[in-house]
Amino acid sequence: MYKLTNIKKKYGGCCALDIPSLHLEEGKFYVIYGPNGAGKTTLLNMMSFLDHPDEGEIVRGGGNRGKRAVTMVMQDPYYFRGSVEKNVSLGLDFRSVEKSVIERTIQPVMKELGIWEFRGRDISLLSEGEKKRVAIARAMVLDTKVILLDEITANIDRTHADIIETAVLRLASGAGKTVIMTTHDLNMAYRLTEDVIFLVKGSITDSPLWNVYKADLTGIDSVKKAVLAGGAEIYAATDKTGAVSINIDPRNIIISRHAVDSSALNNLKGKIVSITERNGIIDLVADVKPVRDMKNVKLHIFITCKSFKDMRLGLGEDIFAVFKATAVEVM
Amino acid sequence: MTYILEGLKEAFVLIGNLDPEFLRVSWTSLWITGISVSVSAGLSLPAAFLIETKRFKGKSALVTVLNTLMALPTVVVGLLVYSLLCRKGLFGDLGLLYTPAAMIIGQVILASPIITALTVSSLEGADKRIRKTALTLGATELQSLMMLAHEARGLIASAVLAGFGRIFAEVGVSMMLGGNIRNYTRNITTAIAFETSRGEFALALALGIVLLIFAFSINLLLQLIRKKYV
Repeated sequence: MYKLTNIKKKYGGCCALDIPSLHLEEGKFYVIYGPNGAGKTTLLNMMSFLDHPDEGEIVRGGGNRGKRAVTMVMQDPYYFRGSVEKNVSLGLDFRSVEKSVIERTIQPVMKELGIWEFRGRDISLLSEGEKKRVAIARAMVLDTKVILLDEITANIDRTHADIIETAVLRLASGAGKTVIMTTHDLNMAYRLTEDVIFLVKGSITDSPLWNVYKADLTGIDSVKKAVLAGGAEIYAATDKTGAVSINIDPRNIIISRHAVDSSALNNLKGKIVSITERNGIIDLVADVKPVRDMKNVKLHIFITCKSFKDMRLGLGEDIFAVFKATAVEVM
Repeated sequence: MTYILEGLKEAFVLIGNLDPEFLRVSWTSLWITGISVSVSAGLSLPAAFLIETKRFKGKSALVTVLNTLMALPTVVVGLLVYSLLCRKGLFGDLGLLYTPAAMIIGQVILASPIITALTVSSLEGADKRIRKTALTLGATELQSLMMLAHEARGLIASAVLAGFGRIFAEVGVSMMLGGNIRNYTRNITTAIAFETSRGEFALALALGIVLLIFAFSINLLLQLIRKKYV
């Protein structure tokens, strides 16, 4: 559905996006995960053709024409003065759809999102969560092939988020629908789809971003001490120093019941506090004590089901998380 | 001071009795200003949308010029248009001088910078998400501009009313281009000047009161619009 080639975008001299290649297939549900400032919104704006790259090319299936085949729900959309119903039917009005057809189209979607009962209410009287549901509804009623959703559950409570997630999952299951959503909630990303794209500082990375921390790198050797927020220390092999973000790929962490005498510089003791099976991989969350006993750190560790069964691991058990300084990725 | 009080008393009698001369000049003011402000809005609003939504070289300089032209002296406009419409002027053959059409031309020149500059300022201050959200919902460029106009309608109406207020109360253009011809181009402001000069203080005062009532009504309307839509 989308083919991005050598995309570059700069804002004020800073590189906001740098994507050599990205191919998104038609009919799939993608979630783009990344921290704030990763370039998620910039990427969606380009996919909706609201913005253009400085360099490179974005090709959408069926050509770049027909912008009406794409709908986007912005993170902080504008709600037009008037009723809830007027807002929901706006996109259909733009397409000169007949009034009777509009009524037939919007009713089931508004009911699904639980906003049918206050369709006549002025939009300004709604809570933020309810407004977000209106924004989703007015995009869903357009029944476009591509729907782009930018941080749609940010800053709203769990009840509203659950309703929206359910509606989005139903929407994504529709034949031929391509849904591309951004979030900075990794758990939600995996709850919704297997196709998670990781975006960091404008670039796509293969490493799952489960263990991202802010750290202060100190030292003069090629191996630096990374002091995490709270004072915990780990070792990272990097030339960089100062305040950075680091990521420890959960696939590169070894788990052991006993302290391991090895070349790996990071050997952290902790307790298993959560076990989740996801796509045939076990995600263990260990509450680990770093070198200096300051503040515990939650560390995601991915192991295979076989390893999990063989080691007979359980909640509350003591483990050692072992990883090399080179497994710490400085972003 | 007594002549003022007597003048005021007589003015209210004229208004109460719906004096024909008083009604005539009031109507002339209303219809000429109405056409002027309509033409001006028809030219200024699209121009303001173009200025605000398009990127071009010299945009900020243009806005500065428009802001300066808001304070354009009426007699300067009168003089300028007079030089074009008088017999020796470029458009002298059209015979427009001392006609309502000449007054309308002058008033349009006066009101347009006000309506344009205030509308540009309103659109600048409007929420940037309006057009973007409309575009994400499949609006065409024109439809997105219509949505912007719809959302900023209160401020746009204020800009048009400000233009109306400016030309309804001006005297320079009306006098120089209309010529204060009775039953033809004499409006409230030129009548006030004329009646005062010939000592008809009561009629001048009555017209002055009407002018004030209009000014007050426009301001009241502006406040109501702001309260409801801004």
